[in-house]
Formats: sequence, C-alpha cells, structure tokens
Amino acid sequence: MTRLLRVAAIAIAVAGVVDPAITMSGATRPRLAVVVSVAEPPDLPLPGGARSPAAFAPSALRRGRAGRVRDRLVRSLGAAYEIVPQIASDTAAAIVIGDTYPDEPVRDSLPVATVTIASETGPNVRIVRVETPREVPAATAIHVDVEVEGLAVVGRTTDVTVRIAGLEVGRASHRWRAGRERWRAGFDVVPIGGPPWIVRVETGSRTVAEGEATALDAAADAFVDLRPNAFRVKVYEPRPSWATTFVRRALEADARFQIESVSFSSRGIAARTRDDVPLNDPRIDAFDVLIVGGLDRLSVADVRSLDRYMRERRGAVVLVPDLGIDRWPVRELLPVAPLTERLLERPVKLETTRGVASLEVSELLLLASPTPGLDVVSSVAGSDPSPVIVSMAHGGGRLFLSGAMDAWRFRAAGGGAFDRFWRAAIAGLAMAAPPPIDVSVEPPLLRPGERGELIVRLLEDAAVSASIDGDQAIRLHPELEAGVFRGTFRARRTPGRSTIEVRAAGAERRTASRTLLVQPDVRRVTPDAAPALSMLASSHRGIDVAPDRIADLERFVHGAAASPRSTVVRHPMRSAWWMIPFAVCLSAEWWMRRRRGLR
Amino acid sequence: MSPEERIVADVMARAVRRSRLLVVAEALAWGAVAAAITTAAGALIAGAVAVWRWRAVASRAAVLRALERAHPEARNLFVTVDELSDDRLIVKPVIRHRVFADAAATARRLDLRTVFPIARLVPVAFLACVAWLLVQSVEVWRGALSRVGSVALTRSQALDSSTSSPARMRVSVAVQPPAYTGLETRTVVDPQQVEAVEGSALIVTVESPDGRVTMEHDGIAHALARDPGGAFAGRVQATKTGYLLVTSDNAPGLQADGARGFQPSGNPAANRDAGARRMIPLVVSPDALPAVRVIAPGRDLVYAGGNPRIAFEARATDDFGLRSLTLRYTKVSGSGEQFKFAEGEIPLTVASAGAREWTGHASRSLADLRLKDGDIFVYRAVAADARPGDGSASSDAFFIEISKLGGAAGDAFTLPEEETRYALSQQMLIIRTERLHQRRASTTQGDLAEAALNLAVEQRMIRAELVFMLGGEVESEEVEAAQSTELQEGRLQNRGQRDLRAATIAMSQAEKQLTAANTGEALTAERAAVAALQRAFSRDRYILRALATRSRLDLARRLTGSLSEATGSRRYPPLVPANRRAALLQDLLSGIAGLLHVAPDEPARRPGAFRQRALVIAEEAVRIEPAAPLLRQAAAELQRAAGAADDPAGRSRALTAAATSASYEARRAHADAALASPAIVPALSGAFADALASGRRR
Repeated sequence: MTRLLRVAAIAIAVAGVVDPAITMSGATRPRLAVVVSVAEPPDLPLPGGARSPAAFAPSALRRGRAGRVRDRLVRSLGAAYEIVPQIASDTAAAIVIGDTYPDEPVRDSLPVATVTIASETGPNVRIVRVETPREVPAATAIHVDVEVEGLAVVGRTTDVTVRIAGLEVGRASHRWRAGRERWRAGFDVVPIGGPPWIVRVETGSRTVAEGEATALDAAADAFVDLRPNAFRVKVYEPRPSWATTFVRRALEADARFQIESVSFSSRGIAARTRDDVPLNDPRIDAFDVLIVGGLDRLSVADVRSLDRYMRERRGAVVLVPDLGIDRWPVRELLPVAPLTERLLERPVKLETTRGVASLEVSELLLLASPTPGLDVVSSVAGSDPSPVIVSMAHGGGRLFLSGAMDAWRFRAAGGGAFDRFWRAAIAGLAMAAPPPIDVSVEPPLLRPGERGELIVRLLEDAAVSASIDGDQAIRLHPELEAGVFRGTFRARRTPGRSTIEVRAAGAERRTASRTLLVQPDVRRVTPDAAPALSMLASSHRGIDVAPDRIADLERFVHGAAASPRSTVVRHPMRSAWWMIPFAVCLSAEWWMRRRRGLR
Repeated sequence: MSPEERIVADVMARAVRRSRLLVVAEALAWGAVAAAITTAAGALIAGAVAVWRWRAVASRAAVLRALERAHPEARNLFVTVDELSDDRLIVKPVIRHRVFADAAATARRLDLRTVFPIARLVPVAFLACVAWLLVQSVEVWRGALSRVGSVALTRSQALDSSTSSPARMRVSVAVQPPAYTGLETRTVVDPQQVEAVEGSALIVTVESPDGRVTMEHDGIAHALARDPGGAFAGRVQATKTGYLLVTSDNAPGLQADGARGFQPSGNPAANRDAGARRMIPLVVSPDALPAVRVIAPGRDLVYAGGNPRIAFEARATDDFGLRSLTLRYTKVSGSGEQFKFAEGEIPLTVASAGAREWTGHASRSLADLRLKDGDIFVYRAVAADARPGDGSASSDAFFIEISKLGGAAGDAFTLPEEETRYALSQQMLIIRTERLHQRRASTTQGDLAEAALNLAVEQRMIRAELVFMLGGEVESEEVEAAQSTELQEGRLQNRGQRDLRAATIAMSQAEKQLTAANTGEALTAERAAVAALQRAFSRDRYILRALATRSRLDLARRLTGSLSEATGSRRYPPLVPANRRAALLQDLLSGIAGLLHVAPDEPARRPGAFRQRALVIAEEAVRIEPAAPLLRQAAAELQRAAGAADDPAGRSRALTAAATSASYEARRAHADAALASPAIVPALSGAFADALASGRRR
C-alpha cells in the first residue's frame, strides 16, 4: 500500500511536469442573443412649437410587449440555447424584438430574426417623403415625388394635393387596400410667382375628419429655388452621327442649355463652336454634361478622359451609340453584360417608369440583363423588358447610355417626344452634376430663430468661408470626406429671406450663394424613427415576424443556429486540485510508515 | 229623346267639358313650372300630367264618380242614367222615364263650379309664377355666376350683366363677314367672345355714361367717336385672333336718355366712379384654302407610245365657295442637262354640286398634249376660292411619261438599263406568274419548277433594280432595311419609305415562293409588292425622278477628291430666346392666387378694387396669347369673378376655374420636369459600381 501511494504521488508529479494535452470533441449549446430594442417616438413639430407624439404608442407600452415576447422565447428556446441579452462575437444567432436596430454592431454573417412591435397606432395617413429638385431652371416644371403611408385606413380614400403660392397645382387620389400600405405619387407642377418656391404637399382634411390619430403629419413643405445658370453641355462627335446631331439640335432649341460641340468629319477637320475645348483639357470640367456619339471612333485616350471627367469632376457622360459598341474602347466604361443589337420591322414605343416622354425606336441596343446599380430609364415593352436606356453611377459622376439607336428617325412622333425626352434627361443629369461650390442647408426651410446646418462641398481643395446676410460669419468645420465642410447658424428672428454666401479661395476665387426662407408655419415630413426592423432581418438571412407568429421564429432559429460540434484541447494537469491527491498520497504514505515504525 | 233625357245629357256634357278644361289648364300650369328650367321639360311634364289627369279625372266614368261624390243623395242615379243612356241597362219605359225625371230634377240643382272647382289650379299657377319669377330675377339675386354650369364658351353667348356693370357700359358688336362668304351680318351684345371669319368687319357700338370710350385692338388703342344716337362706335377689321379692350373713363359725364341712349349729364357726381373696362376675346377663323385632288387618272402613267386618250377628272371643295378649277401642267422635254420646261393649262368642264363643291372633267390624247418619247408631263389640279387675292390651292402632282424603256412596266415600276435584258416589271412578272399558275395542272413537275425558278431569278433582278435605285445593294433583307433608311436620312419618318421597304420584302417573299414553285403564294406576294410600290410612289413622291436611270451616279468618283484644302469650320448655334410665355403664365397664376387669397370680406368692402384687379388679370390672360382657348376661358372666368365681388361662393368658383385653365396652359408652356437621378449618395453608388465591376473581372 505504501508503495502504491508513493507511485501515485510520483505519477502526479511527473504528469504535472509533462503537462499532457487532451483533445475532446462533442456538441455544445449555442448562444442565442435575444435583444429588446425599442425606440423613443419621434417628435412631431407643431407650427407653434409644441410637440405631440399622438400617433405613436408610448415606448413603455411597446417595451412591455417586447418583454413579454422575450420571456416567451426564453421559455421555449432556453433549453436548447444559451440565451444572452446582447449580441456578442460568439453568438450563433440573434433575435431582435422591438422597432429599431440594436445599439451593438451586428456582424454580417450572423443570422438575425426580428419581431417587429408596431410603434404607430392607427388610423393614420402620414406623409413619409417629399422629394423635389433643389433647383429648377426657368420655365421648367417641378417634379414632386410624394410617398404616403396609410395605417389602419383600409377602404378610405386619401387625396394628395400639391400647392404653390396657395394655388392647387396637382392632385392625386388613392384608395387604401392594406392595413399598412405605402403609396407613391408623382406630380409635375408649374412654379407660380417668383422664386424661390415653397411646394406644400397635403393629404387633405377629409382623412383628419375620419378619426385619425394625428393630423400633424398630413402636410409637408419643400423648398425649390431657381437655377440661375444654363446647363453647360458639350457634344463630342469623333465622326458625324445622326443620333448625336439630333440630340444636339433638340438641346440647342432650348434656351436652358448652353451647347458647345465639335464634330470631326475627317482627320483634323471638324466643325466646332467657339468655346469648345478638347476632352483632355482641364477646362472640360466647366461642363455639366458631355454627350458623345460616333463611339466607334472614340480612342483609348478619349475614353480615359471621359472616365476622369466622371470620377474627378463628378460630371455626367451620355453615350449615344448608332451601332454596336462591344468591339470598341468605349466598352471599358460599361460594367454591364454584352450588349445585343435588335432590329425591328416596325418601330416600338419604349416603356418608361419615370414620367419622361417615350421614344420610338426600331434599332435597339439591349442590355441582356439588369445589372445591380443600374437605373433603367426606358425598356422594351412586353414580356421581355430588356433595358434600352440606362443610367449608372461611375465614380462620383454618372454614365448614361441610350440604346435607342435610331430614335432620331421618329423624332416627330409623339408630339416631339424625342426632344422632350432628351431635354428632360440631360437637364436631370446636369442638375445632378455638382457645381464647383455646392451649398446646401439642412433643413431647407427654417422657422424664425431656428438652428440650421450649412453643408458646403467643394470640387477642389480650397480655403472656404461663409456668412449669412453678409454680416454674420458662419464657422465651417471640415468633415472626414474630402472637400466637405459643415457649420451651424441661427435663422433670423423674423420671417423673411436670408442669403448665405460661401467663398472659396483655391486656384481661383469662387463664390456661391443660397437663398434661405424663414417662415413661421413650416411643415416638415415626420422623420422615420429608424429603418424598418425587417430590413435587419432581410439583410442577415433572417425573417421578420409579428408577435403572434413566434412559432415561425422558433422554427427559423432551430434551423439557423443548430448546436455545433466542437473540438476542445484540455490540459488536465494544470488544475490546482491535483495538489490535494498529491498531498493526500504523500501524507498517507508517511503516516503508514510511521505506524509501522519506519522513518 | 224626352226633355228630361235632354236635360240630363246637357248637364253631363257640360260636366265632362269642364272637367277636361280643368285638366288641360292644370297640365299647362305644371308645364309652365317645369319650363322655367327648360322648354323641353315643360312640354314633357305638361304632356305627362295631361295624360295622367285625363284618365283619372276627365274620363266620363270619372266625371260620373265626381258627380255622385258631390251629391251622395243621388244614390247612383247618374250612374244608372249613364247605363240607361248607352243601353247597358234595359228597363221598362216607365221606370226609364222615372229615373230620367229624377235625374233631371237633381241635375237642375247641380252646381258644376262646386263639383269641379277651379281652386285646385290656383296653387299650381302660383307655383309657376314663383318659378318664373325666380328665373327672371336670378341675375338680381345670384349675380353674374347664375349660369356657370358650363365653362365652355359658346358663340355669341352674352356675359352676365353684372360682370362689368351694365349700367355703365353696354357693348354691341356687329360682325359683317366678307361679302364673298355669303354669310349674314349678326350682332352680339355684351359677348363673352366674338367669333368671326377672317376679313370680317366688326362694328363696335358702346353705350356708356362716360364721356370717353377707347377701344384697343391687338395692342393699338383708339378713341371711339360718338354717333348721332349718343353711343360710341368704331370699326375694326378681323384679321387674326386677338382681343378687343373697351374702356371708358370720365370725361364729361353722360346720362341715359331713353331711346337716345346716353347723353352728357353735366352732373359732376356721375363722374366720380372709375371708368369701366370690358375685355372681349376675338377669335378669327381663317378662310381655308380649297381642298382639291385629281380623281382620274389619280396615278402616274408610263406609255411606250401610241396615242391613248386620257380622261382627267378633278374635284375641289371649299368652305365658302369656289371661283375656278383648272388643270395645270408642266411638260419636261430633253435629257441630260438640256431640259425644256413648258407650262400650260387644260380647261376643265365644271359640274358643280353647289358653290362649295366642284368637279371638273377633260379628256386629251397624247397627240393633243404633244408628248413624244422621253417627255414627262407633270400635271395637277388648281382650284381657287372666292376671296379677293390669291386663294388658290393645288392637288398632288402626277406625271405621264413617254418612255419605250418603261413601256413594259405599265402601272408598276422598274426602269432597267438594258432593254433586252431587264425589260421586266413587277406587273409583267405577275402576268407571267399567272400564266404559269394556269398551266400548272398541265405541266410536268420538272418543267414547272424550272419555269418558276426562272421567274424567281427575274423577281430578284427587279428587286435588285429597285433597291439599287434606292441607293442600296442587295445582300439580305436586314441590310436592305438598314440601307433603305439612308435615302431618307435627315427627314422625318416617311410613309413612302415604309412602303418601299414593304415592297422589297414582298419581292423577297415572292422570290422564295417561286423558288419553291409555289406559284399561288408567289402571286400574292408579287401583288403585295405592286400595291406597296404604288402607295409609295403615289403618296410621298420623293423618289420622283430624284435618281432617274438616265443619270446614273459614277461610283468610281467617290472618295477621290483632294483634301489638301479642306479645313474645319466654325458652327454658330442658333440664338434661342428665353421662354417668356412661361414666365407670363407664372405671373398670371400668381395674380389669380392673389385674388383667391384676398380676405373674404375685402371684395364686398371694396368691390371696385377687387373688380379692377380681376379685370386687369383677365386682360393679362388674353394678352399673353389671344389665340389660346384656355386663356380666353380663364379671362372669361376672371371677368365673372370681377362681377361677383359680393358673392364669395360664386367668386371662388370662377377664380378656381380660371386657375385651372391657366394651369393647364402653363403646364404646356413649361418644359418637362428634369429626369431625376436616383437619390443615392453618388460617391457610394460609384464605389458600389466599381466593386461590382472589379468582382466581375475577377
């Protein structure tokens, strides 16, 4: 026995010195994060300065509902998962309950399911979005995009009206068919009176009378100013092209466009306007849009210049092919699948979803399939809606490709649809091209004494300063994004208009100004508290359910976060507990020897 | 008939007559009530009431019932008498005598005025009076907007009197159309707008208490002279759509003097008011030129020779009346650069179906026209209307060609360059295909196939000839279609071009069918080709001798010129004025918005100021473009609003209607909204596109 104890003690000591590693494998209980995330309701500003969240359920109420959902999930999933209250790096899946994104970051690979607790109470019709151009040139209609959300108003009809200077200039009606539904309407309205114009969108008083939770979100104002400068457009033809020629003529017949052009009829022989500049000349940046035809003659250097123009100037390039372009250098600009030529016996009218005039065409250059990031302006009608006219981002600028190769032949059809289309398209591209100094104010319409934010974007590095009404300086701070500066200011205390002036001292001194309207009765769009929680689920391979569909959620979690088998390497001798058997063995062996009288 | 029976019969007859008269009167009264709305409704209601009441009240049975009700003590005596009278009841003579005696005794006591009282007519008549009173006085109690039901302006529709203070100004316009139109003079009083045929004389008469009246016509103002009757009168010529602006101001005052109109009053108090204004849009309809066309031959002809006789027929119509119809021609002789042109006229024998529609006939042989080989005779019908000056119009031109080369072509076209080799035409091909088709049953399969193949070759030659003439080459249908566009480069979509393309395609199909020896289907395609060719050549005619086979292009000279002296050129874009009309319409809308948002009580407090503003804006609307119907409508509504200063509802209705009209016009004047780019941060979108592109390259 004594020997046995002695061997055991020695074995423990030796094992402790050797420190052997043991590899173990088996199923583990995954961690499941169940997070409650409830937002505070947004403030709804009233003209008088009061605020009322009448249309939103109290956050405590929503938090209580979310808590009950969480308790139920913990009960049903607790046995199979280790439930934790926040998302960590080792969580196998997550469930977010509430109406807003959780505070902690969510890694891309994490499956996330969401339980949306509705924040609004109905019935209510609210204006979600009003979009207008910031500026429009003279004698141009203003396009107003309105998005309205109806909550618990099934069967009712809402009239959306657009007013300028108090005069109704647009109206559309919609009958609600779902408990929660969004509806978009577009209006082309005429500006009334002198600039700047305030476009007021209203959902009508009828809905308010039908017992809506609030009428505060039933009106919104948008600010539209006059664009003082003409659109500067250059037309570049390395060889004469009918397709480009008629686009140029359509623009030249419109006083809003200032056109420079060059058309090469032979090597070194061209018909050009007075202020034309080569593509590789830095002065090309003075143009808002470049229209390029005769693409088969476009050289690699030309393509490089166009690429630079879009990336650095952030301008727009319009490609107007009159034959296939897959073999030519210009193809490098197009990150799209091969283009297919199609010749039709009779001209067809292209379908457009953007409210622009429809072109007729019989020779088409089609994009085989829609590419992500592609904005389809016109497509072929019918069961095979292949894109024909598209626009896409290219660096900071835009690239516009018209596959309607012989649309110019039908330019008299549709009441001059050809001219109207190109004027609208080029105007839109030119308006999207940033000026050397871009001045914007957030919010665009201010109440007396309200604080506003000035955002200045420069195309080139320069020292910049700003002032309001000529005497009150605005301190500008550089942002992380190059060439962007921000500053805050306080609007005048009486209704009226102010002028913000921005000066930039770079290679050349430039100034820009912006008119600011200060009005007491400004109505703004009620901001969404946060992106819909369902977006979190859809971007993380999850599902979004209502509180009454928890069973679906449980099935999803069981599929998405199964118990993983893991391998663990352990060092058992590193445990301090080995000291006890070691000491016991030595003590017992010593005690037994002493009993036998041994030393 | 006994005396008693006669008494009873008389009383019954009187009762029936009175009852029916009352029914007729009642029906007329109800009709009068409804006629206050429209005459048709009045007639309808009167008829309906008459039918209904006739059956209920005025029938003999109903009259008897009424008599019995009025005299219950008669105990059906009148009913019995009636039955005895028409022998429905047969009784002994004694009893009959007794019954009639009793009935006669009762009838003597009858008071028909009591039984059929006239009193029931009174409320209906009263109602009719009230309805007509309301209608007649509507202008007083409802102002100018009592009949705003229709916003459309109608001919000679008078303005409501309140729109511009009739007490101050009354404008009569006598429209005298040109004499040649045969239309009568008509006079409109206080019109919303005046419509006149171009060249009409407008005699404007203004009755106004003011001392001075001016009239502005299309920007030129002149004072109107006073006529012997005391009114102001002026005359203008209606040459184009515009406006008449009549204004009066306070020079020495005038006062109404019965039939003599307004006379100087000498009362200073009458001069204190501001002058009146009246804007009257003037719509001038131009006298359209005659519509004339050649009915026969109505197509081009090619003759190889001979002396055929050609019958010409032309038809012309005009809106007011025709003055002449002739056939004019140009004869082209010669070749190369040695052409002679001779013009002439062929008189037509005119058969008229009235002053507005004429048909002319003539017949000439080639010898009459002195045409020889190589000549081209181009002719057209010319008609003139009755207006002074040149009111002539001509028809489409056709030609007659004398050509041995084209002799075989007949109605269709091909002009081969080698007579022996290419003396074929589409028409000849059809004839030959028809013959082959008829021989089909009696021909062996091999011979049929060979003959059809020969025809297919000929078809291809004709097609090649046509396409060559169009400036293209024959390779495939797609290439044909593509190259045929070159002919029309720079022009608008051309129906003739479409037909030519259809002809070449039909020829291709015919060739395929002939190759497969399907003569029947080949005939169909060949005829379709002929039809398309005829359409193309007769409709748009752009190919007419544009590239005659006699003057072929020398392709060898292409691209052989020297470029040593070629230089670039400077292009000057056209100067385009700014869209001033859009700005004016914006200003007009702004003015209407200002009127819509005046304080509710302001127009009533200061009717003069409101009216003046509304009238000024109405003038602005018409001045922007008098020819625009929507702007004229807006002006009319603004004038209504001006007259409805004390009627907020009517004023608002008129202003809203004016705003709607002006908005529509303004929307048309404005350019389309710019095509918005997606509202995503451009830099992020670009980075996203770059990432996608680089991923695709990998």
